[in-house]
Amino acid sequence: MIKFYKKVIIFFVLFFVLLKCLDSLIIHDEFLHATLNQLKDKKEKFDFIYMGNSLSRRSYNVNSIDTILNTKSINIGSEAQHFFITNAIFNDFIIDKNLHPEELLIVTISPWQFKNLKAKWWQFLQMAPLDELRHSFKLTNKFFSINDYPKVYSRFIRFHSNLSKEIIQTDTRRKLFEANKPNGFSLSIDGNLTKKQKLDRQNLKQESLNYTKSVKNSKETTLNKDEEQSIIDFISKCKEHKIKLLFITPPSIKNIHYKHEHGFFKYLEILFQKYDTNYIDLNGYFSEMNLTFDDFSDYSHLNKEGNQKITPFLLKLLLKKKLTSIKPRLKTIKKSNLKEKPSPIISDYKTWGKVNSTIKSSISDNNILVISRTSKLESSFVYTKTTSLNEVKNYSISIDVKKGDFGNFFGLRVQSKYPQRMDVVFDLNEGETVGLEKTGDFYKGNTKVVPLKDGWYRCILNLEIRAKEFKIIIGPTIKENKVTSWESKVNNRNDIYILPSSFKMNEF
Amino acid sequence: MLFNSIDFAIFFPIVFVLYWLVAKNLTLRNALILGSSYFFYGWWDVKFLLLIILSSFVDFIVGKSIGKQTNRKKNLLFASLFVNLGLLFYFKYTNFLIQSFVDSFTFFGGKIEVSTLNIILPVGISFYTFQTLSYTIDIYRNKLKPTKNWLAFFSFVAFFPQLVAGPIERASHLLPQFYKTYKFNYNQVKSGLLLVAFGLFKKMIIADRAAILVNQVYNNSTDYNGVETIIATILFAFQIYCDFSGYSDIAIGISRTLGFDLMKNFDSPYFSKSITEFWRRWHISLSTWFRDYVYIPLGGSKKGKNRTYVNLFIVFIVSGLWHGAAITFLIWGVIHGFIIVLEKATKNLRVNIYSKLGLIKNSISYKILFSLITFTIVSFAWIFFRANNFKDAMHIVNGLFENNYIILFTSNLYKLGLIRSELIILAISIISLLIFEILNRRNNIQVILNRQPMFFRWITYLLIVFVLIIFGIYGDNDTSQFIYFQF
Repeated sequence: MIKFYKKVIIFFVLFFVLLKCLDSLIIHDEFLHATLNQLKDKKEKFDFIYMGNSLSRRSYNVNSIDTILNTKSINIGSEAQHFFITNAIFNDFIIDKNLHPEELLIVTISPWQFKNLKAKWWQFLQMAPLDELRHSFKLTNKFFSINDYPKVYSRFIRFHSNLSKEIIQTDTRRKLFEANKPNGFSLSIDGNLTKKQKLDRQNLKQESLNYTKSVKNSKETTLNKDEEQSIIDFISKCKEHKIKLLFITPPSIKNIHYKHEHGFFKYLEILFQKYDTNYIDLNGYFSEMNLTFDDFSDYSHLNKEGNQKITPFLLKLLLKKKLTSIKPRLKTIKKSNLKEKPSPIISDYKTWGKVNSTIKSSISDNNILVISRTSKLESSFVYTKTTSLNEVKNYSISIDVKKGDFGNFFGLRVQSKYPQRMDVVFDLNEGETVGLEKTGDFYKGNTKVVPLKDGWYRCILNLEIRAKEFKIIIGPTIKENKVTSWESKVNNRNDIYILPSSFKMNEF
Repeated sequence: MLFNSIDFAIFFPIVFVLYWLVAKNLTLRNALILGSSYFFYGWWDVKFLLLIILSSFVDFIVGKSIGKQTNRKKNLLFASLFVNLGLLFYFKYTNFLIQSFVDSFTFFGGKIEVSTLNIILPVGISFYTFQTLSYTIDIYRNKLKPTKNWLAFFSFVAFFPQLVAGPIERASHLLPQFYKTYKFNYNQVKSGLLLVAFGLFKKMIIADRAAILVNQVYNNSTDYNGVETIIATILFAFQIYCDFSGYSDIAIGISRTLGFDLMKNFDSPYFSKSITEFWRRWHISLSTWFRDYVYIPLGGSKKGKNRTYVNLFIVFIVSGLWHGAAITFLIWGVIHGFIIVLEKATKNLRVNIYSKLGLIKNSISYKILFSLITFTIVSFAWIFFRANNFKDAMHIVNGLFENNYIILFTSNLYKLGLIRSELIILAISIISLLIFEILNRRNNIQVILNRQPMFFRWITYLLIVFVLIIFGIYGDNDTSQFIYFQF
């Protein structure tokens, strides 16, 4: 019996150690946890604080705004955040004067923030922000019963259904976030509408032109008493604490398209007018911002391109409506901040590493190199120096290659921490891609083979890299090898000609 | 107190430690079991403890008296039946009878205003009533000697692992286990705990996850049809199986850690090749109870074919009503009864047809085909079992044939309450369960696990616990209740 109890104790110790380790890995989607901590640790004062749901999270690129204005902003919006939760978070940090924004509190407002909280799935979505409010349950209880929600025994347990996703992404994402904020932002606003989605909303342009008129002619859709009161409380608390407040409805195809929602926007205009509160409905500026389908990742959210359009427009509006006094600071913009970083140089073959391979100049032309395998039985390749990356970037890697004296297949790999990689094999006889395979960290891969003179081909790989560091691996291969292991053993001598000066990696 | 609650996670280790401290002293041990069982039951509602005490008291006295008397045996048995079934009828069927009376009156054009009574059904009443009845009936039939040990008997009736949802134990099997002490057996405790973990897997990962989708569709039946209702119905089949067999596994596992042996209640029922076989594998403790105490007393199969069919039909109608006082449960029983009678009546004909078609009984194709047919029939019957009322059930049945299979290929599939990742987890869990059951029938997986090195075993145990906490569904009152608690 004693043996059993001892084992039980050891088991539970092991269990809790593991649980604790896993718990520390959990961060929420959209970095709410990290951003709230950043706000609350008071290491810096923020000029702008952005709040709200995913529309807030994905519409305002704080890094981009701060670069232009030389300000400090923070975005604490999170996916599917109900307005009650936004209000609860607001109530949580408003107590501490040091957390107040220096310039402006920008709160996103849209119909989706007032969804019925009784739906189980909708409740589940509120858990991420709720978990952040562990010390402010009383505040949360003001708006709904906390007993309706599953109890929290551990962050790990609470977010069990997201765990697989979190475990894969968290480490990379957290490091990216800590290293450079905008990367986290970029990660969350990728994506484009599909052809079908575009076709289904082909009247977008016309609808956007008619939007303002449609809102004006719509019958107001009022919120229920509690919901309206939560907005009014928000406004009055801001007035009480002398915080400059701006409500914004970011542009969304849904808002433009669904006429039954237009009454809601009319209601908001009237409500904010009544309470003398600043409100901008950006849906009314669709054409001014020159927004098209390509600027949205879905019907609700802007993507990177859309974000680039909304940022300068929003800033102009803030200045025009005199909602901020930051104008003088514009003079202090450091031009260097706006400069693009040059792409890493990879063409210097003297810096390349070799594994069971030789790199020699061609007899006919010194500019041409021959990469040959020195072992048939072991993996052979050459690799570039490791390139560090602080944010998600799209690269086009290209190199001019010609078939060797022994072999006509060329392998190219972009690799971060093994086994995360993207592999591609080119056939230099046919001038085509044999195959492309990916394993994590690398996305949106596509290839192109451009025929040049004298049997040369320009082999191009376009891809998105989400790794913190990576290197490029190249070498000759054979038809029989799998794409994912093109560098592995061969049955004969194997080489390839390359033009190192053509080896480039351009950001796009 | 639910097995899948924090309350129980605190309660059980305390009981377990105390139990093995006093295990050598029989009286003290049984007193602990009784006390903890009453505490476990009283956690729901202390008032209902009186019912269980009354039921235990009546059957203990009646059992003893029947054992002594020879001429008043029948009267005493009736006294026991009257008290036990009387309580069961009062709590379970009063409102059903009142409502049925009002409905029939209204159906024939009459006008009557009778309101139903505010009666709360005590948890597990159907289970412990049947368990105590088996004791008095067996004594009456001279199959069992009455016990003189009231503590053992009261503990037998209230034994907390199986008190509220079975297995419905026979006195002849469980009661003698309260007469002897047990030594702590490490392997037995480990095996029990693994069974508990398996039960929790079924309950928390499959049943409670499936419940989210099933509840969404069945509670809004007019909003869904076709593929949506088919998915919900198939998932309900797995929900109810995992919910109930999960409970049984936990009950058997907990009892095993205390040295007790409870009967097997489920035996991979969805691999049955006929409805008759299904009932030999599903809720075995109830179906054998009905066999011994209803079917056989009615004459069983000894009074000719037609009478056998009638007896079978009666058993299934009673079984339907045992589950709940509603027309839907009655229809569920009728469907099963009808199919079983049909299977019996056409047995020879079917054998001839199969042999002409060249269907070999032991072939895999035969097993797969007939398992699928049986599963389809069982799932169809579950519609009536799960539907909130007859109208909903008929709506679902009519909706089954709507052609909207396109939903399977659109994101609408994820609007039934479970997002894509949750559906994938559910599908993987169900497939894993079925594979596990197939493998376990061939080789006992626990035995195989015990043969592995310690490192592997510990990794497996930790993995099991982590799988439970990562993928388990917690704290949602709609889903975490065990379905069979309502019966």
